[in-house]
Amino acid sequence: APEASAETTQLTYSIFFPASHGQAKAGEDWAREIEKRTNGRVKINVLAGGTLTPADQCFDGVVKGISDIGMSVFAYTRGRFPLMEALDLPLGYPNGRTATRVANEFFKKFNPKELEGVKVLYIHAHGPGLLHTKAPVATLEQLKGMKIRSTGLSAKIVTALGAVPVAMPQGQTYESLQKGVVEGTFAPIETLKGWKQAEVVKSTTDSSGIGYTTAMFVVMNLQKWKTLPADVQKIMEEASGQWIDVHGKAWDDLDEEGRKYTLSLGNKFVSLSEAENGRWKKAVRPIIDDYIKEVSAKGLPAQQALKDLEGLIVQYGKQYK
Amino acid sequence: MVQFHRGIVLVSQGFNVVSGAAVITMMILTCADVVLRLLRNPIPGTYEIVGFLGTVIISFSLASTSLEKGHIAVEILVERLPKRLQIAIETVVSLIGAVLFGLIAWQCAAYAADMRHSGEVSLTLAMPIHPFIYGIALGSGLLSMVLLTECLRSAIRTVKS
Amino acid sequence: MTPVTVGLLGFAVLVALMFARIPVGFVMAIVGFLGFGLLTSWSASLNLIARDFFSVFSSYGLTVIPLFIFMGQIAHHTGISGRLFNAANKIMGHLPGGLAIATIGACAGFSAICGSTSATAATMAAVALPEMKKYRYDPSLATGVVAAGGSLGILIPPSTIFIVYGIMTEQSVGKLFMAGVLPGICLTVLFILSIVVWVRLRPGLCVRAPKATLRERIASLSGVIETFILFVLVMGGLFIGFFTPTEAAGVGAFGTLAIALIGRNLSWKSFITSLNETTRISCMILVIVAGATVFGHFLAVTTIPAGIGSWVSGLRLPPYLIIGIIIIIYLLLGCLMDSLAMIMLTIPVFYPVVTALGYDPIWFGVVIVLVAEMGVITPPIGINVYVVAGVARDVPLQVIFRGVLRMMIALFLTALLLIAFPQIALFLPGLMK
Ligand code: NA
Ligand code: NA
Repeated sequence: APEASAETTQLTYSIFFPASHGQAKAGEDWAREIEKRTNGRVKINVLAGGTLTPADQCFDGVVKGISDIGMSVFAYTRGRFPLMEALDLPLGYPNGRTATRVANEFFKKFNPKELEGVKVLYIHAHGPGLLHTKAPVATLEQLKGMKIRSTGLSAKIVTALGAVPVAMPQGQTYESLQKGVVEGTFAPIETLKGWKQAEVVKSTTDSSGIGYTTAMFVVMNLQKWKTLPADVQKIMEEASGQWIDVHGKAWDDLDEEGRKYTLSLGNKFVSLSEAENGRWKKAVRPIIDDYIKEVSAKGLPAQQALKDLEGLIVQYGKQYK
Repeated sequence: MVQFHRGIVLVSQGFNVVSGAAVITMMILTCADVVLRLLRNPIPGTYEIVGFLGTVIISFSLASTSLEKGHIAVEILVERLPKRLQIAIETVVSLIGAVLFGLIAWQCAAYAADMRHSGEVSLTLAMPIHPFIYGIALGSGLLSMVLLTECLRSAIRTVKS
Repeated sequence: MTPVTVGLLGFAVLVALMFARIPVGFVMAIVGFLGFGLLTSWSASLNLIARDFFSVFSSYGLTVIPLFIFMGQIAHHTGISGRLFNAANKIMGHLPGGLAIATIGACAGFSAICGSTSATAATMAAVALPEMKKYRYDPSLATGVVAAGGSLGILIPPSTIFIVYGIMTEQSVGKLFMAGVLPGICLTVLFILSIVVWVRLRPGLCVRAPKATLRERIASLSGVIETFILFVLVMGGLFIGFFTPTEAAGVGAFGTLAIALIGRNLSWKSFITSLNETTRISCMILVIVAGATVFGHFLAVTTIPAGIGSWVSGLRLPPYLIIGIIIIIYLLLGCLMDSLAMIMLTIPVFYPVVTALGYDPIWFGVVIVLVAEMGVITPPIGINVYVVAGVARDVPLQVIFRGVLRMMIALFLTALLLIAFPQIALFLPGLMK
């Protein structure tokens, strides 16, 4: 490799998605774009698949300088981001572009204290998490008592809907569905392709009325950020702003691929009737109320956050059909 | 010195009992969860508790494993050297190990304090995570002490021989 | 110094320190810590070791190790495995290397429930090594067989490596699992053949038992009952979907304990000994894995793995030569790295090269698993060998490595067969829809 010249800044970028995942590719493209726009004054070494920091240590790893930049999931470190957690509630996100845009607007408005230690480049979030099962589910009665793979927040949703949450790593879900250790999973539809789970489920219930999302950050070490020249900072901020929609669209494309893939395997989609949709919404409402109560108690504007989120989802839901 | 060493050995053995108890707990918890899940009523948080028990098993057996020379090393070269040189090498090697695990203990304690401050909790049970990291700090600290006493003992032997 | 120079220097220091009798896990942590510090910052490196040790020690997937070891220890200390091997000895002990062959069979069987090589090696070491020792098998033969046989854990499904590969390359995990079946059987047979040849060439390696009468053989079968019940419990439960492979470790340990208690074979002393051995061996393995993780993170920032990848992708050579070079690179990297880390770092670079050459992705997955299997037994960082050394404490590492290298021939032959006849891997997945 050629010796790095004095004014070249080398940055490492830890991404928890495997390199083949569409979101890792979007992140990689962002890195290449920065290199291009800075005429090579910034070099970014992208390490995907959690090869530098595992998903749940990615944020902390950026704070401590293990990697300079990191992309991972807020929800993997429960309690660390109390206000950003609001984004993941089952608010009925229609698609990934809406969820991603809402997440960024939400961050801009509240600028939560929990993210003060880093430079937030941008945020993205997946399309609605849906229910995928081995036996079709069209009503709460059919779901009752079913063992559903879920962790953290999705486990709360599973419980609220009357099913049984079973936690396990995403990597073990395939086999567990195959053997029947679990009878379903809660995840965005792209998971059916990305993690091959379409091979071992039969049906997807369009529960987007209670569609939750998982917000993900792209953040940079603050000290490192401050050492960058002003024009490089500007280039990075501009590119980041443009990449919000790149990721949002990537999520929707991945969901579309997941949908096609699961249909190609002969799996079915089940839609919920109007009345049933209302019942599901009602069932998960206590999760949202609990959140407001819990986080308000910490002195954070949870009530306002939820109100704004609901407004943003309607607003951007219209824009991104 | 001898009494100090004996004390360290006793503490290490005590720690190892905790480690063994964690193995049994992990086994019973897993089986109970499997059986209760068949009845559609699994134990919430089994997944994360099992992981945390893993840290207890390993960190609390670090010292006793070292006392039993359980950490595998490549013997092929050193065993051919003269006895005296072997003991000298042993002294340096123990010191290096003691420094390494001293660092790990220190950093884990700092990490645990950080974790506590950040308010991060486990995903399902919302259980604090930092006690388990303190556990690694404790186990590594004890291992560091074990290696330090071994370093001193072989240093004394080097001088005597 | 460029990152690549620091990386190469790191390798050299790693090997040198290892020969100074510093425990293997410690060495990797030290070199990883120093190298990472040099390339980033010391404060980042200090933070890194704490986080890596915590994430390895608390890893859910690795908890199978203590539980499977406990199962093996109980089976050994209560005589369950002794009675099993007595039967094996009566039935095939008069054959050259009969018990070693039985051990390979047992490894293959155990691989069908366990997706990790180190857990397979640890369990089989606890079960089979004391028995082969009792029947005066040469230590190099006995340990080599267990360490190499344990590597079947990732070829015969389930397999952690296939799952990781499938996700990284967007291939069907189900097809990959199916693709591993025939090569797994093929490798099992070749392992057995290498034992037969090895023992033929050096008959002094094992003592052949006198041929037992039919009556003796039938009588010895009663010793198999306990193992058979366990097998049905664990395999049946997995098959019906009562539990996951990770949970199977807990169920298996509990089942073994229950059988020992019911048979009144379990004394308090052997219970405590089993537990102490379990914590000691698990601790040793997990410290090595933690050290390898720190070292792997150092390697990741040296950019060496990615650099090698882009070098290969730029080569203008016939496809089979490129595949050959890739296999050799994996072998070299496998000598120095943990298999999983190696795959995570290199697949993104090699996979597009291989598929562009027109090779089948499923087939390449099987090739990757084969090289990963070699990686876990090649010196100096061969995790399976350390696992076996942890159980067979009277056998020096180099003796185990010597034994293992003889068994490697079977792995090489399987790889060659796979290259010559890709259908071995692709036939079964082709039957799936
Ligand atoms: Na297996
Ligand atoms: Na190796």
